[in-house]
Order: sequence, then C-alpha cells, then structure tokens
Amino acid sequence: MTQYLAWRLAQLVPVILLTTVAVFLMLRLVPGDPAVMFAGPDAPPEEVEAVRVAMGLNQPLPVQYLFWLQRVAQGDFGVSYASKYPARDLIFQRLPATLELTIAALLFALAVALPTGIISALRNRSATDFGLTAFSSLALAIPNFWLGIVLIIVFALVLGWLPPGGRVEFTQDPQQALRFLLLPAFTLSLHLGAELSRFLKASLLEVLSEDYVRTARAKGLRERAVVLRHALRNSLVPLVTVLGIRFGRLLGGAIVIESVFGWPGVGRLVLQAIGNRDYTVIQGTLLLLVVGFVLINLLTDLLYAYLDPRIRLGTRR
Amino acid sequence: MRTSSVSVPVPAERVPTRPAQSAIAAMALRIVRHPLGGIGLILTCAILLLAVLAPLLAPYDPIRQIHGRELQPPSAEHILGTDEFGRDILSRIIYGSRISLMVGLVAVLLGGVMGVTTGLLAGYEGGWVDSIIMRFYDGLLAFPAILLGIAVATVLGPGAINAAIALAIVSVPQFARIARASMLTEKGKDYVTAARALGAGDRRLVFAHVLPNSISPLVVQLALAMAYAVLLEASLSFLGLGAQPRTHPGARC
Repeated sequence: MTQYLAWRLAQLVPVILLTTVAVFLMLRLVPGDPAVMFAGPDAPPEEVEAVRVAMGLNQPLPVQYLFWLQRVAQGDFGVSYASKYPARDLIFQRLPATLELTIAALLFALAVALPTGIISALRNRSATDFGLTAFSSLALAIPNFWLGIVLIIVFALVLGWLPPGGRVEFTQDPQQALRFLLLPAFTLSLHLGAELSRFLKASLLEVLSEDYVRTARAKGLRERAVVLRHALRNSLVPLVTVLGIRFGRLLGGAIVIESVFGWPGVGRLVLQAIGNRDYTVIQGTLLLLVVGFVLINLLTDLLYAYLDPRIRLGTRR
Repeated sequence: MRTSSVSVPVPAERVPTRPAQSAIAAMALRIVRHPLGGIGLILTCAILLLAVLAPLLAPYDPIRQIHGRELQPPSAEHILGTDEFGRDILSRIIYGSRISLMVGLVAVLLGGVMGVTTGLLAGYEGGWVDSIIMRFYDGLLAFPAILLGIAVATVLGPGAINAAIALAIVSVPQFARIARASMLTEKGKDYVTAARALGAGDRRLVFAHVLPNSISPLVVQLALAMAYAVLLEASLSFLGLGAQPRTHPGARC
C-alpha cells in the first residue's frame, strides 16, 4: 500500500504543476494589460507603472510564475481587481455553499441510483427495467439548467411549496435550509443519478453471474441476503471510482445550477468575476476547484486500492 | 446506446483499407437492426434535417421582432408562443439547432483530429514523447469540462466559435487516450511489421494502416463526445459564454 501511495503521489506532481502553469498563463493570455486593469482605465502612467512593479509584472514570465506559485502555496491568491478584497477571502466565503450543494446532490444521486440500479439488475430485460432505462436516457439528455427552470416554475411559482431560489445557512434554520436546498440539489443530481443507476445495474449484473453468488444461493441464503450482502457489496467497489471521477463534473454542473437558483456559491462568484474581468478571482477559483478535483480523484483511487487489493498488488508498471 | 446512432453518417468510402470498411459497414448494420439504434437514427436524421432545412421549416424569421406580439402564449400563429421581443420561439429553436450542431460538430472534429494525431504519435513513438503528451492530457483531464469552457471563454471571449474551441479542448484527452491504446495494441501486429518490411514510412504506417484498423472505438467516442459537446454548449450558452445574439443572427437569444 505504501508503495502504491508513493507511486500515485509521484504521478500527481506533474499534473498539479501543469494545472498551475495553465491557470497562471490564463491570466497572461487575456488581452489587455493587467496593471492597467488593476489601476483602472483613467490612472496616470506613473501609477500604472507603480502597480506593475508592485505586482511584479515587470519581471520575466518564468520568474513571475515562480513568485505567483510561492504566494499561492502560502494561500495568497492575490487581490480582487473589482472589489480590492483578497481573492482568497471572497472564494472561501462562498465555498461552503458550493460544497453543501454538491454533497447534497451526490447523496440525492445515490438515493435514486441505488434502488433503481438494483431493481433494474434484478429484473433485467423486464418492463420495469426498460422503463427505468428509458427514463435514465431521458435524464441524461436533458440539460440540467432547463430542468431547474421547469422545477422552479412548477414547485415555486405554481404550487408555491418551495422557494424559487436563494439559500439559508444550516446553522440558522435547518428546516428552512433544507427547503432551499431541495430543488437545486435535485436538479444537480439528475445526470449523476442516471449515470450511477446504469453503472450499478451493469456492475451488479456482472457480479450476480459470479461463482460466489451461486455458492451463496446454493447454501440456502435468502435472495435478499445474497443480493444485499454478497453481490451489492462487490458491485459498489467500481461505483466508488465512478463517483470520484464524476465529482468534478458535479462541481462544474454546480456552477450552472447556482446561477439558475441564485445559490451564493463559487460558481456565481466566478460568473460575476468573468463579467467584471476580475481575473485573480477567476484564477483562484479555478485553481482551487481543479486541485480539489485532483485530490478527490487521488482519494478515490486510494480507496479503490484499499477496497480491492488486486489493484495495488497487480498489474501496475 | 442512445448516442451510437450518430456514428452512421460517417462516409464509409473515405476509409482506405478493407478491414475498417467492413467494420464500419458491420457497425452500421448493427445499429439499424437494433431497435434503440433505429430510434436513435431516426431522431438524429430528424434533427439534421431540421437544421439543414431551417429556412424552409421555420414559420417566421427568427430575429424578426413583431411589435404587439411580445410574450404570447402558444397559439395557431405561434405554435410555441413568442419571447419578450415578439420573436417566434419555434423558429428560434429551429434556427438554434444549426448553432448547436455546428458547435458540437466543429468541437468534436477539431478535438478528434488533435487528440487522434497526438495520441497515435504518443503510442507510436513511446518513451519520453509518450510521457510528455500523456501527462499533459492528464493535466487537461483534471479540469472539469465546464470549468475549462469557462476558462477558455474568459481568455478568448464569449462566442460560438470560442465555445467550439473550448469544447474541442475538453474532448482532446479522451480521443488521445483511445488512439494511443489502439496504437499500442496494433503496433505489434503482423500486418504492421509486413507493411514496414515492404518499405512503408512512419506516416504511411500510422495513417494508412493503423488508423483505419482502430477506427471503430474512435467513431463511438466521436458520437459520445458530440452528444456531450451539444449539452455542454447549451450550458455555456446559458451562462452567456456561448453564441452571442448580435454576432450570430438567428442564434438563441
């Protein structure tokens, strides 16, 4: 396990370095002079020059990159062009809302995918299975922001059961918080739920044809115990990997869903920042999300290796 | 598979060598015979026709603003109603399908060409070329697609073409991985050795011999990536980073 861990960590280094280079270059590729943008369009040339020196923009690019990397590693993402607050504060203020939404969507997706996936596998090729498969095809093809808008119209405007948007902190009023969370989390979970359901079905079908399942049946276990205790457990292992890979897509989806429901997370922050050409905030958010995504992938890989010894002992180069 | 039907319109006659031709023909036959494949084929053709015949099918000019008809509910004149500027929504959807398909197609073709060439190169050369190319794509894969789209749109500015470029970059690593994997399995086969013995150069070996034999997984990936690109383009447009109303008359608003 230690060896495998070291190998995976070593693989991580170039990936993280590459992403930092990409995110750093992004700011430099943007048309326009960052110093002018920071100082404002009407600033006199001396002031622009002062900003340029203060921001280190007069240094060669590789030097700028190293200085930037050093500051980022210390948690300093720079100052927001628009509000002049530290970008880190702006981002970390919004991050809990995005994580809340993403995790709620993940739980929703699992709550939908587990029963439907199991039913589809147990009743393979039945009418129920066909219906569920057709439904998941539909769910995968629907743009989720569209579903969000429809849900707002139905549940908020017509029925008036749930609020159309906004967020309440869990610490303030848990019940209200749940009511605000329900629609956005469900909308965000749509694609993942459909995908997981299909994946679980395929994985469960494969496991159900294994010898040890036949053995479990032969020794007289009830079907319920065979499926839940023997088959399901083994088919959940690959599901973990899919979950890890899809988590990034979920985070990306959250950006879209946040602007449908007025959810005050990093997604809306980024969109506002794009509108204001507030590049430090965009850069900081991208970097944070990408590195977070890479780390989650690493965690799932490790979890996978922990659950299934064949991976860490087996066919690695 | 719902998306595999998109792979049908690939022109079989373009593929130079025999084995791939029969593989594509067999795949086309399988799709047509499969009930879901048939449905998918019909739907795909319907949407293609919609986009191609848009000027004939759309009842109104998609950018014409009819005064006094703002925000109408569906009616006999406007089957899907009108928007806040009095434009016919059905016509806008019909014309909008052109943009969706174009952006999706351009993105996937661009991404496919870039991914396949570099992936084949990585698999063929091996060694440090392989390592550099694939580590680079690992890094690219670390960006969730929407984030990458947002990043590219920030740098290039919003617009349909830039959205297509963003989506192309998103799709490159997958194509590269598949192409590289095919190259690795095909490289050691006898027909490659035979072609080399007959004096085929590197380029001929890769593009005339290996590529046609690894085409089927790539076509499947093309279809999947296209479906994903169309969905992503919709999201980018929703965020205001896709097709812009002024520069592209007939775009969705």
